[in-house]
Amino acid sequence: MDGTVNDTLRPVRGEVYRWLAGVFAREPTAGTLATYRSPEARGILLDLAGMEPLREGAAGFLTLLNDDTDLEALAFELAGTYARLFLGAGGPAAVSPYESVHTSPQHRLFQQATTDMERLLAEHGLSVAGAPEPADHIAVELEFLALLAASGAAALERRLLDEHLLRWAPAFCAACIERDPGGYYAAAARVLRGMLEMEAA
Amino acid sequence: MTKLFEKDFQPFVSRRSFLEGALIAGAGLLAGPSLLARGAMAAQPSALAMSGCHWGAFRARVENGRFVEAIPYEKDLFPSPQLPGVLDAVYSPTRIKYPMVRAGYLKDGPKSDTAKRGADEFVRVSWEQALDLVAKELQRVSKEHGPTGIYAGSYGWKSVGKLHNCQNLMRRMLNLNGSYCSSAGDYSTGASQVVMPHVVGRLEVYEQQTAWPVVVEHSKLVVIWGADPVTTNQIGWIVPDHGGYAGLKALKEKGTRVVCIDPVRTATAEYLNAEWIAPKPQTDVAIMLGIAHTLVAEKLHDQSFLDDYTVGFDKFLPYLMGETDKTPKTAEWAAGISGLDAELIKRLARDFARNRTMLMSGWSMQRMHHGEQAHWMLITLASMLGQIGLPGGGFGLSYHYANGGAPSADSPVLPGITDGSKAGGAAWLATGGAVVIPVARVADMLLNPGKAIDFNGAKVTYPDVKLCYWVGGNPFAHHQDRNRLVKAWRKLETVIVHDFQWTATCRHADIVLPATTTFERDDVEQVGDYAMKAIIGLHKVIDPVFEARDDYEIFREIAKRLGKEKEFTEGRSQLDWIRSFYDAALQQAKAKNQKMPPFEDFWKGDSVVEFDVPKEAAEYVRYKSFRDEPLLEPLGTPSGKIEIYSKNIEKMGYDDCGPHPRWMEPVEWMGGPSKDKYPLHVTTSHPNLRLHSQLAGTVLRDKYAVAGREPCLVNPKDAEARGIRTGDVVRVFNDRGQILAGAVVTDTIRPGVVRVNEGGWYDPAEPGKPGTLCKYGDVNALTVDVPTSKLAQGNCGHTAVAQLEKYAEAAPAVTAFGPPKSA
Repeated sequence: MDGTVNDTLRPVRGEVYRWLAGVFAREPTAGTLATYRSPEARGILLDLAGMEPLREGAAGFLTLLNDDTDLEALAFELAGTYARLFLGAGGPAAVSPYESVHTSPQHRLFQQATTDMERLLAEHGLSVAGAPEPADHIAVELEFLALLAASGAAALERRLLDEHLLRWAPAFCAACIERDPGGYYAAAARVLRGMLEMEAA
Repeated sequence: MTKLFEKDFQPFVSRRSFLEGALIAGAGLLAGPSLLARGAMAAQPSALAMSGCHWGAFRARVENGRFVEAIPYEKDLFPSPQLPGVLDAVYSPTRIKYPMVRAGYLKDGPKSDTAKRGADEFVRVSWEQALDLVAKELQRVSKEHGPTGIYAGSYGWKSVGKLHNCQNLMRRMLNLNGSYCSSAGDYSTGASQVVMPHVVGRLEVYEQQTAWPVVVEHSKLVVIWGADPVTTNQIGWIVPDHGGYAGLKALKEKGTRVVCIDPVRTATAEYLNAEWIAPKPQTDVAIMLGIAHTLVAEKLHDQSFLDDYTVGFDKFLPYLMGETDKTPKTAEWAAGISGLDAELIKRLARDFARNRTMLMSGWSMQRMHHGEQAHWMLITLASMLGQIGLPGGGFGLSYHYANGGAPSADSPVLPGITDGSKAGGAAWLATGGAVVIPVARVADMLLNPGKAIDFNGAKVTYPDVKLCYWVGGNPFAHHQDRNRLVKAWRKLETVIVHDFQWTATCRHADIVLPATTTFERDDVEQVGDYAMKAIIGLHKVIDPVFEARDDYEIFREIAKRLGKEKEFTEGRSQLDWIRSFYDAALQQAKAKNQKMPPFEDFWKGDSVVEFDVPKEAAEYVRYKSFRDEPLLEPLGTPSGKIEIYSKNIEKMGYDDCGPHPRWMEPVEWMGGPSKDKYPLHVTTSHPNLRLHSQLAGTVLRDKYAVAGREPCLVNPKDAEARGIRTGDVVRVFNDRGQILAGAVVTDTIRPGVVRVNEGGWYDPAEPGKPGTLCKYGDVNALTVDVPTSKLAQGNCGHTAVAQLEKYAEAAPAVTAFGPPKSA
């Protein structure tokens, strides 16, 4: 890892994780997609694309969300992709967004990783809300990581990375990149992969 | 408690760009939805709760709100090794999480491009949106197409429980919307359950057998013909008692002589150390005729039994002896058809006649073309042996199913939710609905609206169905000729399915609603289809996962949108219903002076009530009362006797089912005209570690999959000729379809036969495209979708010939089960 890039990225890593958490939390609306077109968002994406580990992923968003895109149609398409990848609808091409499925011996939902994440969140006065999702959903782990990064809780952050995210998220990213032909989730996965490579280094 | 998070964290808020120094404005510009909130989750319960399923009764161990272990009920002495798979299914990555609508259907509704079914994407919708969509569509179809626009013949192994009987609940809701097209019969005993009432005046296939202790004490020879009770008694339509295993064990310990007639040396043959006789599949009737001919030729048949208890042997005999068709059905003739040795067939005839012989038949022999003949001929043979109604003699058609022969307790009958119609009747012969089609003709119906078919002496005209509502079943597993079904399915404007996991049927639907499993809701059930040993509470052990809802609540919500909620619920809550079923049983128990605790005590206590097995139940001999008093206890046939010749069937005048049993070549078989192109018979037995397709997507698959696929048993001779070794990926194919499977080279299967168990999940290489390769091994891609005959219109799931080859190309990954490749 380039020391300069590393130094530049570190301060904003929480913000990147919070953004990715939202991307994986649920299907985007046309409104969400429209925000990517704002000069501010473009600025952010351009900034991110300027750093080698995130270049391909961030550029992917810029390409997908150019001014000609019919955002309603894209949102509908992405809802289908989201369901196929993350809601099980496309069994043939699914990518489980749950740590348990990746790390439990029998590849089940709601296993030890879920319990561990629930406890970890509870220890910090947090719980999952807004959707009936288990605590080891990629979006929950990333949102928690973002909170920790923003709060400067470095030791906890390290624990969440080492005991959870780094154990399975790289495989999750690889599967998204392989199975998302449309590119939106592949782009997000590329950004996440770049971030995690930095964390692992 | 940490004070880390005093404010909500919003990224990219009014901060300086780290590269350019420009100010970025906007609150949480790219934040997206949040899944975290302040406030720790409440502590989750730990408990041990009574529950049960098709694989047995168990206590569910719950830790911190998670179902972590299914501990077999301590009085189940033979728990099924499939039980851990249940837990795996509950927490399967293939759970349906939210209500889903196919993308094309969400855009275009019933006018969508239905060729996209199976290939199209799905989109999440809210429950409100999904339920509104379903209710409006049901009303539209009923209004525009009348009472036969909706197909509600929904069939399959729904989960256990007297309340959450999703098929009854669906028809209960649909009866409030008008009427529908329903189905009769099932895929298990389609042919036999229609012909048996003509022969013995009863269903026969779903009735108690001569009790196992009687068989063990009296039978000198037990013949297990086309059945594998060691494998199939693991499961029950209700919660199984597994009492059949006590019988099998006692038989083994006594060392009774057992003969297994089956193209495969089954687990049962292995367990009982049986003599294994392996004929060509689908030739059972010819073998029985050869045995019958030998009995007559050697004067071993019991003429006085035939005279006293049967009618029509005199009309059957000329056929048997070849006087009517110049073909005597000799042992040599039978040997030519079956591939067995003529001397062996004669020896069987002599052994059957000279010993107290119990002929135990499975249902495979009737689940093939002309399947009506098999059990009819078996009963004719048993009549000639004259041992029907004697202890340990005669025949039995349910020793392999639901633990038939396990002695029956004196138990009250627990009622369940009804479809609300006045018709009622037995579930397997439902008569509700505006039109009733034979269940296995569903694809034929879709492809040929308006066509009239024969059915047991009546005519049925196929309706022009527009909407199909399927619950508690998976026709994309159990129906024959998958590619024909894929094509037929396109004809439907709307397909609605409830399930708890993404089955192939869900993938080929338009609206998919996530249902809870038995373990996410309360219910009550009996233990032992025949044994009736206990009533148990099925407790909700975990909260519904994701947005899954109970079938009852889904249909209640739809009924509400039809303005009929009150009619649907009758003002009762779920627990009110459960209590009402229990109380009905309690009333019966009181009348019999049996002890049953009040509901509250039952429900809050151990939730098990056991019933005693009376001494006479262990001594039960089927047809004893008929044998003892043929005039006072007549059979339900027109003559009151066993009808070897049926005048009622004669009157129907069918060319494919005559008035007495006879050998007719199946549409395809090892001796048929296609034998050069497709020399192998494909036998499609029930699997050992699944219930049909249920639990295919679980950890149990690791115990049997070969090269990640459904195993295909191949005889060494057939394997060698094709250069196939154990572990190879093979392609099994015919003109109807093609599947990949994993080869197991073994001499436990007859040469010329391969076995691929039914129920492997359909995994099309190109979804929605007829003829595409199934990558996992759904054997129904190869079977024929023709009726057994005009009489029963049953399915022919055991009729298929094919060719086999080593798969030369790089085998595509199996994807039916959906775990991530990286996992």
